Amino acid sequence: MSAAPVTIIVPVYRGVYDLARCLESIVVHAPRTERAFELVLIDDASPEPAVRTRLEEFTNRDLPFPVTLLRNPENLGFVGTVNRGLRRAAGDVVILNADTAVTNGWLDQLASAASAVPDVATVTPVTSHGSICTLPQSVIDAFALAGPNPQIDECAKFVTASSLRLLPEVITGVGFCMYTTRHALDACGLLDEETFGRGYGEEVDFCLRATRVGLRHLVDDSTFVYHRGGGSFGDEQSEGLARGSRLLDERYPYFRPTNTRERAQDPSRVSFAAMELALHERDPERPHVLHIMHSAPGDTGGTEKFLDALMHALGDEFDFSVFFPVQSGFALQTYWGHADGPAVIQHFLLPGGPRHVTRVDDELAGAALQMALDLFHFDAVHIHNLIGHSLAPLDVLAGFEGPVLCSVHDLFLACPNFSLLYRKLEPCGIPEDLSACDRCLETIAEAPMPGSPMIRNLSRTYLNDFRSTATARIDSVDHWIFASQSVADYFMRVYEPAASRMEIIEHGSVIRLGRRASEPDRALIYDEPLRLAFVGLGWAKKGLDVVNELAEAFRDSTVEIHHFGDLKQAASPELYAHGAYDNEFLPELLHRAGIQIVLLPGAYAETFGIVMSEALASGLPVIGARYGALGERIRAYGVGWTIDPMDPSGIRAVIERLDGARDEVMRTSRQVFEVKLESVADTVYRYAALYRGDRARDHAETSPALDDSTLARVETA
Amino acid sequence: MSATTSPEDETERLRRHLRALSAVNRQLHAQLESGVPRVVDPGRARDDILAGADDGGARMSRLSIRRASSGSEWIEQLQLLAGASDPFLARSPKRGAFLVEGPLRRHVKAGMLFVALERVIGPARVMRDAEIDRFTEGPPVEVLEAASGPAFIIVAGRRLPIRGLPLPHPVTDEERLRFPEGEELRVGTGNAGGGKATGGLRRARALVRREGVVQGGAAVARSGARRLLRSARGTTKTSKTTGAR
Repeated sequence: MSAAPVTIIVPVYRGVYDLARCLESIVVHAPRTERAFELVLIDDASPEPAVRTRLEEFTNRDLPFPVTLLRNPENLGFVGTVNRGLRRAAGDVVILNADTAVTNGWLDQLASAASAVPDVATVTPVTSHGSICTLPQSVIDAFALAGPNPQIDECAKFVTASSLRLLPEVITGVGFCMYTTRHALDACGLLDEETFGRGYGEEVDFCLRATRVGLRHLVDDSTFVYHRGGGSFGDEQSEGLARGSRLLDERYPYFRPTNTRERAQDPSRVSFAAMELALHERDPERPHVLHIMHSAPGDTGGTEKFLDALMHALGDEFDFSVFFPVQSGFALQTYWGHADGPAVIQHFLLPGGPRHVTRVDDELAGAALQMALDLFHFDAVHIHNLIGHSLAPLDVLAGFEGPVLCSVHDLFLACPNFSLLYRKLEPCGIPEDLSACDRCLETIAEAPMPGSPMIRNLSRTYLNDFRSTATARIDSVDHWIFASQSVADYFMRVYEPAASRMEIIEHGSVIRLGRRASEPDRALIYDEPLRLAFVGLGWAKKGLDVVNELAEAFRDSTVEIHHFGDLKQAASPELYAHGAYDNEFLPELLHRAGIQIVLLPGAYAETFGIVMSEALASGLPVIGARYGALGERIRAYGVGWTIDPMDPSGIRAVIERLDGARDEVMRTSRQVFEVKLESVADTVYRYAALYRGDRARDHAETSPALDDSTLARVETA
Repeated sequence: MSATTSPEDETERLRRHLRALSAVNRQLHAQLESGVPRVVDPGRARDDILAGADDGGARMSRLSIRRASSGSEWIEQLQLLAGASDPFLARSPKRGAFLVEGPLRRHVKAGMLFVALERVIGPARVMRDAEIDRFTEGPPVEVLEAASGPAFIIVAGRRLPIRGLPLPHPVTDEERLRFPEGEELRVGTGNAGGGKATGGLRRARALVRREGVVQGGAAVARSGARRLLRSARGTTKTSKTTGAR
């Protein structure tokens, strides 16, 4: 860096308003500028008298820096005018367009950037209109930089505060405000006036000449200089651009492809991303909870529905982020409350392995979670599912300071074959004798259930290792949460967390309540054919095979079997398939189809049964498995009939009986209307208490504590 | 780290750096998935020498998947229509479907656009060809797309964003030619109506063809009776995956 003062060269032609703003910005920010500088204003025979007057008035003012006003006797154009200024300069130079406005600290920061690394030729600040140095559109919009009243100083403050100070290197500076070092000027000389004439392309030519002698060009991502753009040369712009571009292409055949590649790669991308993120900073006063999921929010599935409802219900008080595996690693997605509008949703991709981590303890998965915890401050972590994460998160979370919750939405922690269907066929009930598991795991290893990880080395050894690792880390979780007693019982067949760490919190309904009629539809129940609805994703785990069989069996009767939901496997042509549905409208859809009973014949032991809640919210009784949460809830409330999913003929018999016993259907339907349903919103206060860490109070008031007697009860059953 | 930066500040800066890198990673991943690379500020390429005088930079950075010609030529005329009398949809026997705005008739070639427009500005009027011909031919109602934001059409000087538009996924000519050409799907004439059997009628015909007049006819009759029952109850008909019972 030269010891001589920096020479700021401002060529002036037209635009008195822009000129006035530019000059005033230099004056306003001069007192806080440490670097000595001089200002050289060059009137390029401006045709506007107001411009000349303004320049004279300015130079007559008592200014805290030396000012020189030069007048070209005739219009030389931009290049000739700048060269006139360059010839006068002894040190570093800033070529500054007259339609710019500088900001606080601009010159010191540019000079500092020029000396931050060796061999710098030029430094260009970020701006509102300046090719590759242009700020992201969201920042331009936030500070109204494209409008008539740009918030220039506010934007500068924001840029400085949110900058990463990376000083990205580019192949050429941008001429609206280009800090040029004396070293570069000595090495490369003046702008090429002879070739580029009146303007456009000359600064690129200069930069490429500097690059040839080993110098480089930086973007100062911490300094903002406003540039209105498009006003310096008026109508000559297009012609000048075309000519300049052609000259550059002829002189530097490599330039265009290099430039194209640079624009695609965008060296300032990370710097600008930091600014875009800074536009939507989280309010640090709001507690922040990290949810660990196996799939993206919004995917089909009960856990996803529940999480969505949970975040919605607690959105006024809490900020949330969701961490889940994707094809190329792990994604973090924010849901931050915002007083002025919708939630702030940002997406981050953290490095990791493939979508389905299959090792018991995957270091990459652990590192990705650690990185997520490093990215933001979290007050609590809520695990919903560890499929795709391995057990590494439990290790990472052992050191987490806030409360760690784990909702047992399925029994993946008990067995990687979380459906607990022996060889994908019948419920295993988690046997104590693991010899039976060998054959099952062998089947699962070859072709896992849809949604399950493909674990090639799945064996009894793997299962033992998996369970012993989870056991060793069981205390990483402060609150084990079960949506039903039955899932707690299953879990305790494998693990023994302290009773004080276990809670039962029923999910509640994920759809709005209060939309069913005041009583069952008598005419529908007594006068119409019996219609049963199989609701949810259509695949074997949920009982599609049984449903297909029933639909075929009832082909020639008046009984109708309907399906609402996506089909993952082929459905019988005898099934009335309604396709995917919007959860929120399910009660209305079921009513319009004339459904009287919801049929949930999956062999999978449900941990809660969100669909069952939707059925009850629709005022419909349920036929479901006698075990798991469905059996537990059907028996507890008397809202349906339990069946053995492995016995289709038994299910058929139940349906045939109900077809002829409409009084029983009516009676059970009435019982459904007696049940007091809760929505997710009614239950989430308990999660909120756990997130806040005031578990003791909550526990004493509402939570039915579990003890080891439940295990004994299950075994007896 | 500069001398004036505290370790806490530097930690926070590194944290912000990590966030930015992770956000960019996500953007790159999304680009890989979508096949459309991000271009630096393509909207400003017109006065940017670094983008090339022929806008080559922006053009080369985008995949060539556009099929339609530029819609810029219509924009000026469409701007003039702002504030024109209430637009309405019209259909004539030979001329086809139109959006009538002020003195102009604007051809609506795509049936799905026409249907979507009916939901917004009301059902189409049936007009004679001679009546349609009295209006001056205006810019057609075509889907426009800018560098950012959803695709849109312009009606009465307002930009109506289009959601749910099926966009083509680009493949090469070689890939296209791996398949023999089949029957043409005329989305654009979907609003013409007439001639085609309705879904229920098609299913009934197929059933009779498959099971014979007696068996199939009985099944159709059963299905019809069920439909009547539902109709009396005020609920809608459900569709079965194949055929009626």
